Amino acid sequence: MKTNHDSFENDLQALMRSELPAAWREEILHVEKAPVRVAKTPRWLVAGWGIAWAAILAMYATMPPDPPPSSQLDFSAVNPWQQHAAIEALLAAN
Amino acid sequence: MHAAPTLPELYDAHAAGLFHYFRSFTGGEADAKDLLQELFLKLGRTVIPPDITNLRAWLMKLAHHQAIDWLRRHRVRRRAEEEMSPLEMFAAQADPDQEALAQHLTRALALLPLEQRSVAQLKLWDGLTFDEIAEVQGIPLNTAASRYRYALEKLRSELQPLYDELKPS
Repeated sequence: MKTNHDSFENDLQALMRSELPAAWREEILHVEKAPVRVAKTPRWLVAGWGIAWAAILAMYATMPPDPPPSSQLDFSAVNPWQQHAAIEALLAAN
Repeated sequence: MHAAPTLPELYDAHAAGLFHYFRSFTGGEADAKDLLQELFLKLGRTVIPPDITNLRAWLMKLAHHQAIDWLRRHRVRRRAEEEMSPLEMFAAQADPDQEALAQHLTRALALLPLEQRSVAQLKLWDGLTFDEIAEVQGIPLNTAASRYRYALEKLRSELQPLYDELKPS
């Protein structure tokens, strides 16, 4: 007997699909209720960045100040004759 | 105006259909369950549009997109078609002939191409019209209808020996 198109479809539709296991209901709905967790930066990374910045600031604070540019030097107190005499004395000693 | 259904209500009414639809893509129970869980997580954070005429079709559309994304991520489309394990898709049938039909039908469905199997599911057991199936899967109406027709022909061909055995002329 060939399957009549309508009755074949009806036969297939008459089959009930299986239900889901009862335990899944609570499992799936419970997961939905779990609070969303925001990813946090790892503590070790935060500590590392803190130490690095502290070291940079400490080095900056302890560095000697840059010497003033030569245009700002005050030569008024230097006596060129006294310097010349000192140089002559050094040459005569050698 | 009806109040929007709660998640438990959505689960009770639609979870089984959604799961079986997912399984037509994944072939396996575990992946289908994961997809179902993902979908309900998303539903918990989604506002259901108030103008939906068919909630099941709307849910199936979400499920379809999710299933397609799963296929792309896993790149096992061919394997899903070839290795769909004949799990218990149908409930145990009291009538032995119906039970035999259910078992043969499960195997026959596993042999269908994914496109035909998924359309057949939506038409036969989820009660969607061809218009709704076309909307769910993003395909033309004619394509939905022809995929269903091909699926039915193949199923009929596969099950004909069983019919001949159960109902000899």
